[in-house]
Amino acid sequence: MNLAALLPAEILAGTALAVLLADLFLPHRDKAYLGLLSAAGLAAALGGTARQLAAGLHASLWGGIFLLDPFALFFQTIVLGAALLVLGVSLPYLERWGRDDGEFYALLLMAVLGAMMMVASRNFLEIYVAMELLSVSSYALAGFLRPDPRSGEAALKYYLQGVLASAALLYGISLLYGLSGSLDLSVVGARSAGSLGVVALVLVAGGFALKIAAVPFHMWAPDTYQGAPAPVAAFLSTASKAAAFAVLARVLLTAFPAAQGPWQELFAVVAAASMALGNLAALGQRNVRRMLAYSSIAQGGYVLIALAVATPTAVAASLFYLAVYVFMNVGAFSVLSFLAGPTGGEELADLDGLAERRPALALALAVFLISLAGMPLTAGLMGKLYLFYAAVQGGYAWLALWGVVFTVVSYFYYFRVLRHLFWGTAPPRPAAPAASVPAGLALGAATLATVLFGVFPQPLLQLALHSLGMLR
Amino acid sequence: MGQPYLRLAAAALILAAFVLGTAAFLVWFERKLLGRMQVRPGPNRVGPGGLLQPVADILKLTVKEDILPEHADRPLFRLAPLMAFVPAFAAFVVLPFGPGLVSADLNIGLLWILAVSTVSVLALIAAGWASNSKYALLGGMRAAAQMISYEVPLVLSLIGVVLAAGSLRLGRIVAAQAHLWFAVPQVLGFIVYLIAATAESNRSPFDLPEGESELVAGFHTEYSGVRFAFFFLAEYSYVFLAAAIATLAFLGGWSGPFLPPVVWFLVKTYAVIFFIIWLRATLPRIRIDQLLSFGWKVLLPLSLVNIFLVGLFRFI
Amino acid sequence: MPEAFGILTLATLGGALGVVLATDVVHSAYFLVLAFLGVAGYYFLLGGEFVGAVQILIYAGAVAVLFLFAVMLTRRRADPVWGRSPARWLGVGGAAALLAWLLLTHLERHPWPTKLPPPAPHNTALIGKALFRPFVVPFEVVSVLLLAALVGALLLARKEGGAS
Repeated sequence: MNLAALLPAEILAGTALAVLLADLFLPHRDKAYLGLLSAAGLAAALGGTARQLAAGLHASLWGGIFLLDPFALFFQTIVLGAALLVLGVSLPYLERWGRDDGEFYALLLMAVLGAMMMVASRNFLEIYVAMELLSVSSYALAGFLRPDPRSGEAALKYYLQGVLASAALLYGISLLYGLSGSLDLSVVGARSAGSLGVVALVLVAGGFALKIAAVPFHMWAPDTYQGAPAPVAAFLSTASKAAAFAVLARVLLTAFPAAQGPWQELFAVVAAASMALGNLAALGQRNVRRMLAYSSIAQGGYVLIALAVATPTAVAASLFYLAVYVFMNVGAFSVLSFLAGPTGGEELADLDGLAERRPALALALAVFLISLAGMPLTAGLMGKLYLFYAAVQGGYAWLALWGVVFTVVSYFYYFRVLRHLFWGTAPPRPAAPAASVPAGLALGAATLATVLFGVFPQPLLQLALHSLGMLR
Repeated sequence: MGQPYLRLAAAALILAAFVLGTAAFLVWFERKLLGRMQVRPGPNRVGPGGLLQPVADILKLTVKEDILPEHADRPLFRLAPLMAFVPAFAAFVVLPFGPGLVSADLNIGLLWILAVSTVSVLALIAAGWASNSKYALLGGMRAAAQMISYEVPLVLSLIGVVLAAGSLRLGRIVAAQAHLWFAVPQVLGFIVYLIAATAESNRSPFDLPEGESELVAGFHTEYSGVRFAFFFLAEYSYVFLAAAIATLAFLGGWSGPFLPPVVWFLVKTYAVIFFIIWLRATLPRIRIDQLLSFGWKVLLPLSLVNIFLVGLFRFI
Repeated sequence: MPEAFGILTLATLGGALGVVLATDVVHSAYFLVLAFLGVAGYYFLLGGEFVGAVQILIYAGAVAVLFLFAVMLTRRRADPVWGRSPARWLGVGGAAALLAWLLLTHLERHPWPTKLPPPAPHNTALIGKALFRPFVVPFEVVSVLLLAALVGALLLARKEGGAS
């Protein structure tokens, strides 16, 4: 029973090991098979998790260390889906850089495994271990294009700040353990009432906030998203962020309902600061990837509204938002990954006249950016609407207003990119390489989903609400 | 206060005397053996059969000038010899010489010995670093690389023993060998242990950290006088410890017919020491890259195989 | 054993202070070892012999050696020590003091139990059982984590154009 319920995770671990082993024996020209093998493993895990989600699985494993409830399964599906999209984009990307080694796929699978375990754990020990798996794999992935000094910088900055956040997290966990004598989420909160518990909780939240890139733990994000391989940046900004948010929500909502007042205020401030800083800083960026990094900080701020409001509606809205955010953000980073070469090509000017050169890519990027900005007929708008509505309903009207104001601010930089795409004068330049089949599939799926969930948001919202039903 | 502290102090004193005596005796033992193996008499001037030679050496070392190299890192340079010796002494504390003949019978005796003896690497690095000399630094770095590499197979080879005995207490491990020495079913582990332990105590053919022909004397190039004596003391303590663990974990410890247990323990331990010295007399030194790849690519897998086999037999 | 606790606390705090205050990174590393050993002593004092010995084996014996190795491979003694301007002292010291004040006041306010349950005998065996029964999955995740760290480190350290 226990082992069968964790089958998707086991498939992932097995695939990662198989990829590493096969990498030893495959000749260099056949490395693409490793990517396909990884994709198969990811798809199998995704299928298994989706089936568990559809079946409404709610299982407590190993005496409560794991809790596979719809909430966990929802996030596992998000993470796996994001990873599959990222993988599809990575195939041609790595080939173009001549670095299509098996390690990339193995590390990506291990990072996904860490994220999956993280969202399903209900024990601080497992949460920490799984998060470290996600982190360590991510550090290496960020530095994967090592000859490029920016990739090294990306890895180093992420690593140094990540270690600091881990230390804060561990310190908080150790305080909580001292207070409660347990690492079990269902026990810790009840036994660590009092001011020291709040201090510990803040430290723990700091550890997760880094992965969400929420202010004031956002400093790594611009450099890392800019320097890391584009697909890795896509993964970090979506799957990793979603997993950290899931754990944070679970810790706060299930373990510390007693301390709700303090942490609600804390997250209201963090969310407001993230929205403000992310959106304002994005205004000044000429590099599109860096701009997307700041935009991603801001998007993290929108999602964190849910933790400030802390009503079921708000949390469901954040689930919805994170799910659609995967499609639009992975999509945006992916389009950039096609354009950029070893010499850059991610400046605003490089996008001039893309609509003439590569109409499909330009259209896709436009859809993603419009959705990120929150325009009608896109999933992004629905997500923002749900979040702001929940904020108003939950008595945080000022936070909703704050969000609307900065959404308007964000129009400036998103539309500036669109202007370059469609109205820029294209300088003569070599055509971008043709997209391969897996990348085309990934990009097409992301575009379709972004529009589809914008027009028909109901099923996904229902699913989010349903996933939340059994969280408490 | 009172009783337990007194007992502890007495035990410490006796142990210190024993460690000193053993190290001194080992110096003589090794030189004599090497001499005989190379068809020369070895030390034979001071005392009967040269037995008092180490005493004369110690006297010489204590009155010798204690030189501090220029630009040395003074505090570390002074501390390093102590750091080398204290862990060795701490390891002796849990060593049982016979049933009940132990200063502190720790639950996790074997692990304790392994743990504290790793700390001595820090001393070698400190000595190499603090001396402000390239030979010493290279020696220190080699020592660290070597000891980390061989620590792993060493510990893993002993895990088989712990698995079979079901305890980390050295007394229990000896008791578990009442019928059959672990060296017989776990011959693979025993061989891995012997090689790794020889390397761990920086003995020839693994004496690269102090290879005379390359590094003058390695990490203790710049040391003289009493501080040098401490390194010497530590090194021979580790040889004795390595042999004693081999005896306790693989050769049935103090058990044996007719003779009292302590004698059996010492006889077996000295047999292992003899073997280690024999290796030194016979084998040439190997290269540093050979050494490292041998540790990681041969010894490590072998020790894992050993654990697997032991587990398999336990399971059946 | 209050005397033992006092000595260990001195060693741990002294070591920790030494790590931050020492001007030479190598000295910092050795102070760190002192702090590690102090913590190991606490474990022994609390009856956690196994954890204590593992603390020595892993932290003092392996982690510290790795630190030293890295320092010696990457840094020369002639390198300047990073600046210690008064502003930096003030900033770092202020932040540390603030955190200490925050924690200490809250630690003091908390009603800690004055009596601890006695440590379980045979806790080595208990640790083994816990690792292989309820915590078997985290245990396996740790092994994947170590593998990821290994692969990642090799990836970042490997020479370009080397064996791939």
